[in-house]
Amino acid sequence: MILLLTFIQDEAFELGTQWAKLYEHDSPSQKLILELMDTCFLVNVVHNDFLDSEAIFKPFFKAGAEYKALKSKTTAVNGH
Amino acid sequence: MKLWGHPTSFSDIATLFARFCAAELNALPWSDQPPSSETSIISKQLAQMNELGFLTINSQPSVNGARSDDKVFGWGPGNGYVYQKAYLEFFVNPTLLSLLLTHIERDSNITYYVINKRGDLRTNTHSDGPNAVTWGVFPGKEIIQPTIVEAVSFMAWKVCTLFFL
Repeated sequence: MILLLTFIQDEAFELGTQWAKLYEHDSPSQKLILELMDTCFLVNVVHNDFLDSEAIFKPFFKAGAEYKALKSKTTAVNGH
Repeated sequence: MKLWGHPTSFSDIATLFARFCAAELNALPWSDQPPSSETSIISKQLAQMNELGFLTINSQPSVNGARSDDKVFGWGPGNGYVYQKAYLEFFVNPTLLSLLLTHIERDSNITYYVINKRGDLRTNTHSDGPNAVTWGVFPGKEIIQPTIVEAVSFMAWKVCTLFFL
């Protein structure tokens, strides 16, 4: 069996859209999910060094911390 | 909808994903069953990723030569050894993605594909061939690779679907 991961990518956006359709038309939840599907990216990341099991997570935690800092800065400027 | 409530912010959605990774939620719109036992090995890291805004829909941990009869990672014929590269598949917003890519591009061991709803593709892979992410070595057999990542197949899939219809 050959499972091609990228097959899933086409379906992934469709599943999000189907989820949005469960909510009432134009409801805040439906708008939120549809907007997310329209604006976000789907990413596939492979770490090729299979001897280092933690390595794949490192860039995510670094970028996540930077994003948190960025968000709190913006919120402070907006005065919220 | 009973499971997922009425999310009104991005962090509501991220919380749903994080709870799914922590096995506090049994399904997501992208998965009708709880995370597999192999994924539970990285559930802490996955929950943390989702809280940070990387909404994971698919993943596997790395494996270096587990026996093919291993209860968690094993597959295929007996007396073999199985291997996996770690991979993650997730949704992410553009700002967080660009922060991520600067870090990812510093690690020459990482290959990635980025795609949006319209099908625009970005990758750091230069080879046309597939990347084996799960493979097994068995007595008297060639290497078996049941899972590969390949971009070209994205187009090929549509053709195949038509064929099977």
